[in-house]
Amino acid sequence: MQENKTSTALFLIGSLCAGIFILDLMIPTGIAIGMLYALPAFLACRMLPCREAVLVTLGCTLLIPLGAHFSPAGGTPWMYVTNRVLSVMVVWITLGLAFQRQRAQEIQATSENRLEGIVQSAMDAIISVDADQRIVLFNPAAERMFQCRAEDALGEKLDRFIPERFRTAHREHIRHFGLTNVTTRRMGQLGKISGLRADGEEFPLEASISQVEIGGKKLFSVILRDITQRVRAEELAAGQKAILEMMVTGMPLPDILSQICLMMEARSPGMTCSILLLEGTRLHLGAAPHLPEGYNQAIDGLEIGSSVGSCGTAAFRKEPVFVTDIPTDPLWADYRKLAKTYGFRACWSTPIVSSRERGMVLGTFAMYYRDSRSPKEEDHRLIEMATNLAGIAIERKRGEEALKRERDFIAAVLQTAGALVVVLDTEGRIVRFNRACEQASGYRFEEVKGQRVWDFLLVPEEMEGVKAAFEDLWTKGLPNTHENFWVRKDGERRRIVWSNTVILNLRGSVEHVIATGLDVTEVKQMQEQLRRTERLAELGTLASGMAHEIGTPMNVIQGRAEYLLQRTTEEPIKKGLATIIAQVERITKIMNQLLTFARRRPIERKPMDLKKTIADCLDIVQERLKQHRVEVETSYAEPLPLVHADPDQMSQVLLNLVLNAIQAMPEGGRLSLALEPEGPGMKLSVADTGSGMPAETLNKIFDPFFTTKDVGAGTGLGLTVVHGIVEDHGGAIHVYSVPGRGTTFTIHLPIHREFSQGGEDLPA
Amino acid sequence: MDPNQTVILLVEDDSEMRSLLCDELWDLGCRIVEARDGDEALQRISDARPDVIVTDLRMPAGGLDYVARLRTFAPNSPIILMTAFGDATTKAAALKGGVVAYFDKPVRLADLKTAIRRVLDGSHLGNGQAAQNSEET
Repeated sequence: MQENKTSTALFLIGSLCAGIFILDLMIPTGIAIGMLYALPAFLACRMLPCREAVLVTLGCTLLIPLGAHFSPAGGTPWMYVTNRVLSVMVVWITLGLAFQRQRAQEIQATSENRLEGIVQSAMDAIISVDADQRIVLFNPAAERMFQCRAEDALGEKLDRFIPERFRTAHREHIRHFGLTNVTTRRMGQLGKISGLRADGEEFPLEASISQVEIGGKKLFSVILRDITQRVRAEELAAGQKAILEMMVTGMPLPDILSQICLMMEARSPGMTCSILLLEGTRLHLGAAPHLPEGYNQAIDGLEIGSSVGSCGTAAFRKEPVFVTDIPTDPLWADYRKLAKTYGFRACWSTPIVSSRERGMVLGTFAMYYRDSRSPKEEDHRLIEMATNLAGIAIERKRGEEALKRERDFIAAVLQTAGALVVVLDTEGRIVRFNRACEQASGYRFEEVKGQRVWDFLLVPEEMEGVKAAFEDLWTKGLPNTHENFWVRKDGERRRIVWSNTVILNLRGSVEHVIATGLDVTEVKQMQEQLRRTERLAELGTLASGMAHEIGTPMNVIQGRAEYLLQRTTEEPIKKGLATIIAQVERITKIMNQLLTFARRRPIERKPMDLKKTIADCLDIVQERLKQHRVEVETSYAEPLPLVHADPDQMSQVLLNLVLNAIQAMPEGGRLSLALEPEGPGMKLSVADTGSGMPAETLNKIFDPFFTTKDVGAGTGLGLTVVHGIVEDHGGAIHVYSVPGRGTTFTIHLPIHREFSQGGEDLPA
Repeated sequence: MDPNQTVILLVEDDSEMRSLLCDELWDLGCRIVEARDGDEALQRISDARPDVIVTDLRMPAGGLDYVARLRTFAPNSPIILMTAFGDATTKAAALKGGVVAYFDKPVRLADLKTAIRRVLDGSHLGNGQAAQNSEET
């Protein structure tokens, strides 16, 4: 084809050249016929490829002198040479100019083609409008985007593709842009522009605008990109983020699941979602914000199975079940009527599975449609996202619940444990303080939280030891044990045996110290009492055994001294003998008291009125009370039950305590005697406002031979006897004393016969 | 040996104690018959009927049984009992068994002597003894 064209052109040009040559031959040389060769040169350039055009021109150049040679002579030789040279020059200049022009045309054509190609094949829609905003260019991408053919669009107003509410603003925008010198600008920086498709659908787009002025006319070009997908993806991502935030902030599960449903429903108009939770083999409503209440109630508690609608089957099969047409699907056989009532035609349900436990179904996510429908690619993506989110939410909530149950359980164990449990942080501050601690210390957790134990619970003398034990825990992290006192809120001391251990953090350093303690105050007291009782029993046996052996020798010493005393007149000897007698008498007194204790007769209990015993006792000591300026105060609860005790021994007890109290108040004071029922027994208290005793003394006051009185003034057995008698009665005696403030003895005695433990005498 | 002399039977296993009592009671002007234990005491009763028996309780062949035997063999001899740190039960039993005086050792010798004198004076004695005393005096 191309060949033919070239040949034809070559033939034409050749013929033209030949014609000119013939003409030249006929015209005298003086006339510049050679100039005519510029015509074939020009045509060659236009019609022939470059090489052929040059060859044609070369041929012309040869023909010019040749024609001159054969032409009839005319004019001067000078003229002849001049016009031939000029002719050659004209031919070549013509060729050069023609070439140049052709090149320029070619360049332009290429450029236009390229631009056209870009415009046609661009992914983005390109629309050009003139100053009147009539469309002059509408590329295929624009056709697809707006669902409008170019032929229909060209010449139309741009408004046609803009939602009505934006039209004025848009026109203003373009007009305003036209007034600026800016050539290109992004439109709608916030990405809020919308387009209008031929079917009326609005869609989000991104646009840039440029302007050029051609021949004094403004031409605006807009490049548009449909960002529907991107916006949807962004919306989904934002929705997903919002739901994750709801989970993190601990919103209730139904709210989160509802939000998932709403987000999915927004993606697909006309669709309704539900999330059901699987508990055992039954499905319960998780969330279905737009399903009718009646429908929700009807399927709540649905037992899963191999053909139980979409959800029941999906949960049973552990795989998605897409029922695209309910009226014809066998899975819905039993529920068709229900679906019809509420107008559902399609229901796609996907099991929500556990990410932790393979094959464990947590629930189902279902999409309901009112028309028969099959899922598309996009739907599968949405379903996957919804089930993932719901799965995370459900598992997270279940995890939280399990954690809370665990925490509550541990807290309950801690609270109900009999042991004291204190947890301290690295600074030694209390972070946990269980009920046993509250009971032992008298402080409430709220009062001690954040405080250091050594700031208020310890006795000063034990502070260092406790601190050392804790220091050891921090530094070595090894469990240890120790024993110390706690000072109760009311000042009472409790003996506590501790077993300490540490909790390490992830870095392996000590984070908390856990001290588990047992309040052994009572145990210690009992041990002490037992020890004392045993010691007293031994002492009694010993004393009885010794009595006879000692009695006779002492009698001999005393008797001999008396014998000699009567037979001497020497004063120093008399004095010495008197001393011997006095000292033997002292021993005798001690022995007698000891024996009184050791050989107590069995108690003879009878119902007795302690009030009378007190009155009798006060009668006996009346003189002494006056002498020591001691006031007496008695208080008796009413009605006062009788106690079951030995009246003689009770008198002995009371007398002992009252005499001690008087002796403790050499400067006078107040003696308070009180009787009140307490628990199953009776409490007798004898309190003085005397000198009191330090703790070390208190621990020993019931020990035999322990006395604070001057040598010879007391035997140290009075309280031992009291203690023994009370114990024989199955009672208990306690002493509280504050140095400088006074001492209180309290005795608990049984009221009823059942409470007495028999009056076994100590071995004598 | 003056058959009319008042006889005191002193029963005590401890020789020092016995010696002390002999020395102390000497000035009562009585004949003191000593015995070292219960058995010896019963022998001495058969030798000479004592006007008063001063006896220890806890010694070989002693105890409350021994006191009872003394009462049987010498129903008319008043008994003064001494015992080292005796207890109330013993004291009650002894007094019930016919003992006229009871002393816990260590006993003040002055008190013991007073008691013996009273017994010998018959002011606190049973009828038999008083009659016997009056016959002998």
